[in-house]
Amino acid sequence: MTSSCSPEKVSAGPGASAVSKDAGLAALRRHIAVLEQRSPGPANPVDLPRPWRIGVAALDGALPADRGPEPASAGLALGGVHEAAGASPADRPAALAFLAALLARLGRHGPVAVCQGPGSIARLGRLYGPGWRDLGADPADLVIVETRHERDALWAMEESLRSGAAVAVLGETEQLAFVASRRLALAARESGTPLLLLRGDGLAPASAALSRWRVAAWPGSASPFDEAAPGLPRWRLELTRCRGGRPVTCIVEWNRETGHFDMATALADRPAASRTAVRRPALERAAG
Amino acid sequence: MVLAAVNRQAEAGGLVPGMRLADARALLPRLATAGSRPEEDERGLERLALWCHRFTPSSAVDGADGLLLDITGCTHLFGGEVAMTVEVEARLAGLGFEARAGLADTPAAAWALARFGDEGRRIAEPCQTLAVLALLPVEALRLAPEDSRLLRRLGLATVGAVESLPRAALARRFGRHSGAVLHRLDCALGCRTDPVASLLPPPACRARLAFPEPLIDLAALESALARLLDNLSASLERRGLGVRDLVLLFFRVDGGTARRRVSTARATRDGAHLGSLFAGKIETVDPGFGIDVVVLHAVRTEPLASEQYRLAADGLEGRGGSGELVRLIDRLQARLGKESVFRLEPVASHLPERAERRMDPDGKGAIRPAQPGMPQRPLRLFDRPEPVDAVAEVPDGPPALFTWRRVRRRIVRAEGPERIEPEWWAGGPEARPRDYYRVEDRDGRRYWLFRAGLYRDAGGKGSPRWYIHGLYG
Repeated sequence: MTSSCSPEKVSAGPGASAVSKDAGLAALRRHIAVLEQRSPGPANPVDLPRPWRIGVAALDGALPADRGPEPASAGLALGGVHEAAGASPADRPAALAFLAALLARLGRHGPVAVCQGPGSIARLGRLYGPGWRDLGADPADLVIVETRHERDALWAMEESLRSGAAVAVLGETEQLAFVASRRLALAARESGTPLLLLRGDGLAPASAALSRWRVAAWPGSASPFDEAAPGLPRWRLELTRCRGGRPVTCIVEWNRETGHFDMATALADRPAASRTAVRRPALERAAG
Repeated sequence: MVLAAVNRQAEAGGLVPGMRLADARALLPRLATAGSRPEEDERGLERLALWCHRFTPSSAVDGADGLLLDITGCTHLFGGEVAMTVEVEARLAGLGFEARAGLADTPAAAWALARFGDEGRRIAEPCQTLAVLALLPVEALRLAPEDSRLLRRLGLATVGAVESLPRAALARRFGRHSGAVLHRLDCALGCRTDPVASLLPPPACRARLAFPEPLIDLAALESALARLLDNLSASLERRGLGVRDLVLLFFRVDGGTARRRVSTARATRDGAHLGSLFAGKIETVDPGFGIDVVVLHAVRTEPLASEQYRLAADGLEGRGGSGELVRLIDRLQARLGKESVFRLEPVASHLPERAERRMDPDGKGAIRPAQPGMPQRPLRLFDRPEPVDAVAEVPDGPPALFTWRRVRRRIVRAEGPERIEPEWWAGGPEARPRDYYRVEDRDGRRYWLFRAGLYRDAGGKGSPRWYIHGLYG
């Protein structure tokens, strides 16, 4: 609180040297850091953000380290919005499955509010409890909110976040303006409840999410019991933006029995390099 | 064509209801007439009865031309019985109705006083019913016309005359008519119960707020609601009750009413929470020329112990504890509708679309037994399976290629078939067995396809068709 730096001091006139400019910038950064940390945390100390680890070293390493009691541990912050979108519209179920797997890894039992608008249900079907169970998550935890308008779904997400009744909120939205995403991010931070947001409009528009994932289905291995049958689901995860972290891409396999992500060992013969090259600008923007 | 009703001028001109129109025209050549619509009159009377809930929690339509208000325990709000009847008459006159109010211990006596009582003598003091009724004509007993004619022919012109006869003598002299006469007499004198069927069910608890000046501002209505909720929760607490259904009634000065209803998943009397359920519902109320009375009815109540926070059962104990989840569900349901919020409950059925159903979110979802041998189910299921064009080995090979939503997908892995027969007790004759396949295309996307029908018994039902039923992650 003490390092409040007035902007006048920074812009010290036209004759300011490069050194003082750097110092001014550093002071401003400190000031912003103070402002950002001043946000009220969750009321209950038990709920203090404990890092929510993905369990794959390559991914966890790219996530921001927790500034809490264990500075070494890194993971997804609980009080924030984490967005996922399919790399293409057909990959949207994969993105949903990835979020469901993240929920299964949350390690906290309690109600999970699922808020959906009408668009995705009409196009991609309803959530199916048995399939949810087969992915390793408990469908009995789900409190499903189906709304008649997309904007009601956003309202329901915000309401669920603010109430603090749910251990996590899973939202699905067709379109999200930056202001709305900022509202959701604030609500998530104030309550310390994570919001996992599945976006139907891709990751192109700006957003206030802490991390943004682009998920694509990836050819999987065969089932160990049957050569011809599909085995464990495999996804290509691309962390395109992460506050305090760095972008990373990797291919993981979700094992519902153990509740772990594993790095996929054998990669299929797909030109992964060309896909990343296309998205280079996005990566640079996120990094900078 | 006959006259159904006449106004005062027509009455002065000698017209009476029931007269033929031609005769009426002969008496008053410049008679203005309008078609009679009894069902609309009935609806109008019902609206008026609803509006009368501003005076009392229990009001009902009585016959074709009457309203019945049970004002037990309400008169002190209006400054006594006389003041209340004056106000009721004056307000109805303000709406353009000519009304006569009678007030007595029993509905039948009040009916008689309103129709046959003299000006200024239409209120029967408590326990004075007989004394007041005795002077009224026998028609005041609301008998069938031939019954009252019979009584008059026998010289019994007033209620008092009928009442003073010994009951046994009355029964002997009137035979089969005596039952109806005695019944009406007993109702009027309170010897027999004569319940009023209120238009709205009388609430267990009620709070009312009247404004000296009609309100047009919605913000003022919201603060009025806050006060009403305070009053209501205080009286609920005294009686150890919590509310499940709450109705908010707005009474407009122009005779209109508006109703807003909210429900809660658990009994509660938390004013702030109940207020939040009404959020967004008050804005849609049309105040018209102003709202002068607001009433809150606790329509459905349940016993509620004094310690509110102890109520959250284990299953509903959200992370924030203290029934936070219940309150969240209430808020969501209040705005989005009751059916929008639910949990999933497994059902013992092999048909995928019947294997689960929606249940009330107020409760813990059932534990699903793990089924190790079962093939995996998709994460999303279509309400109606969508037809696809598939290429598969005949008769029962897995699909090699399918086209769904105009995109061709080549299948590299498939698991199946998992045959699911229709449920003979539920499906019609059209139901066919399904062979489900879990397939993966070249990009690693997974789908749940099925073939409806078999080649060997395709005879009458056409060749098997392919559908997509779900999507895996």
